[in-house]
Amino acid sequence: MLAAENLEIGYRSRRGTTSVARGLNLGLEAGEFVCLLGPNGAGKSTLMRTISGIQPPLAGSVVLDGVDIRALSPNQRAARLSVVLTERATAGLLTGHAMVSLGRFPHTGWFGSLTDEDREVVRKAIELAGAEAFSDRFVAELSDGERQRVMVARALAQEPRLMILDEITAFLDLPRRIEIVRLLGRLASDTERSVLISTHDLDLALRTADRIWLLHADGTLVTGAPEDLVLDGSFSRVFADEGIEFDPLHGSFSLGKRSRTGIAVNGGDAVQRAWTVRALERNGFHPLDDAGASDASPSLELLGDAGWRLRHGADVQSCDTLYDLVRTLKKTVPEAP
Amino acid sequence: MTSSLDSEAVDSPSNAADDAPRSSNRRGRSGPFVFPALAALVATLFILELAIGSIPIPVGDVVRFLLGGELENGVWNTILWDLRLPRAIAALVGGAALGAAGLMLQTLFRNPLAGPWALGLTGGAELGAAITIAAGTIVGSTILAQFGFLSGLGIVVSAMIGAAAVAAIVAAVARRVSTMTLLIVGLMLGYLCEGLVSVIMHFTTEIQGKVFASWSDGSFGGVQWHDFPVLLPAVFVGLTAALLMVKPLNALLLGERYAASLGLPVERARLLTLLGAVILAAPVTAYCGPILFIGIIAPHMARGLLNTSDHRLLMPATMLLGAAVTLAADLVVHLPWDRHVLHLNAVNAVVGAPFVIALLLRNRNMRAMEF
Repeated sequence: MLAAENLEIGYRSRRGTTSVARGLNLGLEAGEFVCLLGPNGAGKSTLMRTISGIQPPLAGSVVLDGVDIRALSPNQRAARLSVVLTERATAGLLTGHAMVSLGRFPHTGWFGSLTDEDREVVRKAIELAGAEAFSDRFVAELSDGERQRVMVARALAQEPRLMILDEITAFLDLPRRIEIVRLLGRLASDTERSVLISTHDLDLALRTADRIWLLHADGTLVTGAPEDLVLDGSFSRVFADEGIEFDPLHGSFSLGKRSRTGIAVNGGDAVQRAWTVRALERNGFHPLDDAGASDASPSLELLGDAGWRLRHGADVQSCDTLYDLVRTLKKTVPEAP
Repeated sequence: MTSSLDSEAVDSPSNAADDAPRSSNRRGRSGPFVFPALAALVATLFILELAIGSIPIPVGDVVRFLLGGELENGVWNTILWDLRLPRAIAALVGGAALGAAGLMLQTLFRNPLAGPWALGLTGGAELGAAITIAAGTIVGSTILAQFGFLSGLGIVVSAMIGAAAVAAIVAAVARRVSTMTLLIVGLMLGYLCEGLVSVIMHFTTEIQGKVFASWSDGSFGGVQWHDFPVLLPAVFVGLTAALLMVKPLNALLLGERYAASLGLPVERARLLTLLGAVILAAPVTAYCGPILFIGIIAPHMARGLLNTSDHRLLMPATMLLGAAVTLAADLVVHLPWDRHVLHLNAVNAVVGAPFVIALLLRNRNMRAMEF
C-alpha cells in the first residue's frame, strides 16, 4: 500500500542540503501495524514527516496506493493519511467530540457542517478508540491517556488509509502505553488500515508490531518482523553503536556492567530461578549451570520460601531477600580480573 | 464539580447527534435562544442609541421612523436622519467588524491578546492619519486642501493606507516566520508607528494637533451618510469573508501543523485571515478613529457565553456581541452629560476590562485553555 524506494530524507535550506538518511526501502501493507524504532537523532521524526508528506524527500518518492504523496493536494492527502503529532493540539474550548469531528475536515464542505454519515463516522471512531466515556468533556481537562485516545479517534474519523502516530506512548504510564499500543494494533487489523508509530518503547514494539522499521544512527534502515531482526543481529548492531548491549535472549538491554565471577545456581522453582538470575545479571554476575560450574566457583542454592543459601569455599551464608544476597555477594565474592 | 455527570444527564444518546460541540459546563450551555436573544439585544440597543441623547425622542417615534414613517416633529426627523442614524449604523457595523477581526486574529495567532491593535493595524492607521495632517505644515495647506487632502477623506484614505502598509509588512514576513514571531513583529510595528506619531506631532501646530486628537480619540459621531458607500461594502465583504473562514479557523485551533495534516493549505489560510482582518479593521479605524478593546473583548464574551471554540457558533456570536458592546458603549458616551463629552475608548476600557476579568474568574473552562 505504501512504498518507497531509495528514499533520501533530510532538510533543504539556503545553505544547502542536510541528508539525514538515504537508500531507504520501505513498505507497508494494509492492516499492518508497524513500529519505527531507532536512537534519538537517527531521523525518526524526519522520516515520519517525509512519509506524512509534510516535508519533501531529498530523493526518491513516497508512493501511497500508487500515487506519489507529494502530487496530492493537501485535501486529497488528508483523506488518505492522518497523523497524530508529538506536539499537543491546543484545543481551546473544544470537547473531545468536537475534536474528533474536526477529523472530518477533508470530507466536509465550506462550513464544515457534518452530515448524518459524518456523524456516524465520528461516533464509530470514538467507540473504536474507547473514548465514549469522556468525549463530552473538554479536551484540556482530559488526562494524557484520555487525550491520546481522543487524538486517535480524530485520526480515525479522518478515514485514512494510513495512520501515522509520532511518539504516541510518550508521557503515558505503562498500563496506558500498553492499552494504546494494543488498541492501535487491533485497529490496524480490524479496519484494514495501516498504522505506523514511532516509539522508544522497545519492549512494547517487539511484542506488538507486525513489522519493525529499525533506523540506524548512520541513516540506514532495516525492516522485518521483530523476531527476524533479533535473530539476524540487526538490533544488536544498531544498539551496539550507541554503546548499549542488546540482549537477544531477552529482547531487552543489558546494561554492560563489569563482569564478575560466575556463580552456580541450583534448585528453586522456575520463577524464583528466573528472578534470581536477573538479580545476579543486573549486578554483573553470570549464573552458571551445573556443567559450567567448577568446584572453585561460589554456588547458590535456591530454597523456595526459605530464601537463598550461598556457599563460597568453606563460608556458608543464608539470605532472606535477593537484596541481602546481592549485598553479601558483593562483599564476599571478588571481581573477576 | 462532576461536569461529566452534568452532561450525561442532558445528552441522551438519541439526541446526541448534534455536531456542535457540546458543553460540559452548565453555566455556559448554548441553548437555541442565544442567537435570537443576542439579535434582540442588538436591536434594542440600536433603538435606544437613536432615542437617547440631549434631545430625547420617544421609542415609539424612533420605531416609526425606522419603519419608514415621517415624524411630525421635523427637528426629530433631522436629528435622527442626519446625526443619530449614521452614528448608530457606524457603531453597529464597526462593532461587528472589530469583533470579527479580533476573533480571526486571536485564532490565527493562538493568542488571547491578539487584535487589530496588537497586530499594528491601529498604529499604521494612526501614522497614516498623522502624516497627512502634518503634511499641511510642509507643503502648505492650501494646495493640499484643494485636493481634499485635509478634508476628512484625506485622513480616511491615509489611515487606510497606513493600516494596509503595516498589514503588508506583516504578510510579507508571514511566510518566513512562526505565528508567535509574527505577532511580535506586529506589536513592534505598532509601537514603531505610535512612536513616529509622537515625533510627528512634536512638529505640528496646535490646530493640527487638535485635528489629529479629535480623530484619534475614536468616535462614531463623525460618520456621515457619504462615508457609507466605502465603509459598508468593505465591512460587508469582510464579514462575509469571516463567515466563510469558519472551517479553516476551526482547523487552526489545533495548531498549524495539525491544520496542515487535516488538508488545510496553511499559508493561504494565514494570508486570507490577515487580509480579512485588515478589510474589517482598516476602514472602521479610518472612518471612526482607533476604537480600542472591542476586538479583544467581543470574542472572549462570545466564548464565555457559548462555552465553545467552534467558529461556526463563535463567529456570528462575536459579530452580534461586538455590535452590542459597541452600541452600549456609544450609548453611554452620548447620554446627555451635563459637563463634557466622554470618550468612547474610555468607556470601552472602564466597562470592558472588569467584564473580561470577571468572565475569566468565573469561567473555569476559559482559564484552563490557552484561550
